Amino acid sequence: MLEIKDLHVSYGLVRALQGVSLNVPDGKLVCVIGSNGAGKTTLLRSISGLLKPSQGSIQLAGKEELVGRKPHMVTRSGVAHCPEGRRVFPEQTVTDNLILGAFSTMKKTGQAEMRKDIQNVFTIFPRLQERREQQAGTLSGGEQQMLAIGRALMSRPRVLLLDEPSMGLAPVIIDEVFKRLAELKERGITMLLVEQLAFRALGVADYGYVIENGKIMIEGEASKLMNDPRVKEAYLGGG
Amino acid sequence: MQFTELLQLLFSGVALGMIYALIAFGYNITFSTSRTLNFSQGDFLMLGAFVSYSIIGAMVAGKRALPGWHIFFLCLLGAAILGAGLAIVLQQVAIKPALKTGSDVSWILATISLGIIAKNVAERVWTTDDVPVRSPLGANAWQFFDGKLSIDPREFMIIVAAGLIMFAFEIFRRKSMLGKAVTAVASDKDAASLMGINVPVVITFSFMVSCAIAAMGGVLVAPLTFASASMGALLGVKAYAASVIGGLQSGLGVVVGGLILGMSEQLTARFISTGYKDTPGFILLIIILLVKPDGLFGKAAVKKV
Repeated sequence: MLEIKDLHVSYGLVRALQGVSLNVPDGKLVCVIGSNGAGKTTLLRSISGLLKPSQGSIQLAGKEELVGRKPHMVTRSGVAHCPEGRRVFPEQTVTDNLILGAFSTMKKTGQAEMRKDIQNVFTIFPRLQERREQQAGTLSGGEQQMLAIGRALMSRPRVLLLDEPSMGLAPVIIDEVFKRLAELKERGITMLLVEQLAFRALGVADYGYVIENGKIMIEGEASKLMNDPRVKEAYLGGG
Repeated sequence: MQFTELLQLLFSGVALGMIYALIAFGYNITFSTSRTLNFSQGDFLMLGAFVSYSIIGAMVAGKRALPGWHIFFLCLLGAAILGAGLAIVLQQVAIKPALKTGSDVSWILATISLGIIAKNVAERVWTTDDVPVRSPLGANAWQFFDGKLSIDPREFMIIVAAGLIMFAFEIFRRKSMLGKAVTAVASDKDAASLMGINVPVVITFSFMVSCAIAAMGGVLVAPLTFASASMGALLGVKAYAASVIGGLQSGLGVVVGGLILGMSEQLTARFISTGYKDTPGFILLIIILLVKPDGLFGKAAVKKV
């Protein structure tokens, strides 16, 4: 579904990504794990058009080239990005946040379908239904994360990009978030997850990549990576 | 000093304040989406005033006949269209290049200079004189309580129409998809673009709305103050003061700021001296800048990490 080849991204003289290649097959959950500053967020921001790669290609469904598209056009082609730090719209209600998530698809699908999608998000995240008229900024961190994921789902994405959904959350809440990700996988949603909590991420993923200093160092089946001594060494106790 | 006189003064203050509020409301809209604003907002108001002068002159026979309501709405529509159209030019010429380079000085100077150009063009196209503009309600005061209380219908119209315009925009902002997108762009541009919102288009749209509102303000105020090419500059500055008092970030704040300024002017003019009427408002402005630079209704963003 999403194929990235030899991606290079720089911030001025700092080379954040140096030839990253990876593949997200249809219906699979692929994770990219790595420590702070390894280039995980840069990777997702380049896919969704917020950053301009200096080199490389990002292909959606084998035919659409995403490099060079503006972020709103990337979203319209079916890539939803649930950003680092959640970035919900704090002054708007939970429902409004979800409606905004459908901004790119509303014209095609119409009001009725959008209402259905909102109900659908509420069945996945019942807490959001309870709080639907509340300002998003008043939600707890975990609820905001659920909202950010729900909002991304509203565009009926072909690929869902998740940037560190565990960030700043209590361990119990992290359990909950990863349970929901496993459910979304059951529903057949294609996902690319980047995480610092290596073992949590590998626990739900089908396939994993380890990124370090902007380069993919190790890749493999998630179950194999879990037992890979190099991963264990690098992330001892990591999640 | 009678109670009715005080009431009358406050009424005039509210009317004046609503004009400031209307302009400041426009500042608030573009400032929230782009962190820039149009310092020639007052000149857009002036253009709106002249548009209504021309439309009424062309469509109402006789020098004294009152324009009908349909003419009045036509004036509002004409002013709004001219304002929104010129806003696209303003945004392309003065704002967009500045947003690219991130330079604050350039948009400030560019919008001010476009205002000067608008003023000169208006002097050329229309006149350098102050010209009267008729109101559909006429200019004869409405008398209440055996003439103890008299209300100027033109002021009444400003209060009602300005209130309705702002109320309508608030409804639009809350209920419509585009309105929600405006709010989303105001709170987080990157996140908004990830929703599929074309952020530069929304910013242009916010300038169109802002300038259209200012131009409609001109239609409302012209019957009271006459239309003149130089009417915009001072109104624009005072509305800016109003928005700083109330808080540029807050839609409600700019309205309250406008009302405070308008009423303090009227009360000072009556009880102290007309020469000092602008003083209390600007003293308040300085105090606010010292004590609460975000304005009375300025808020720290609700944000949890």
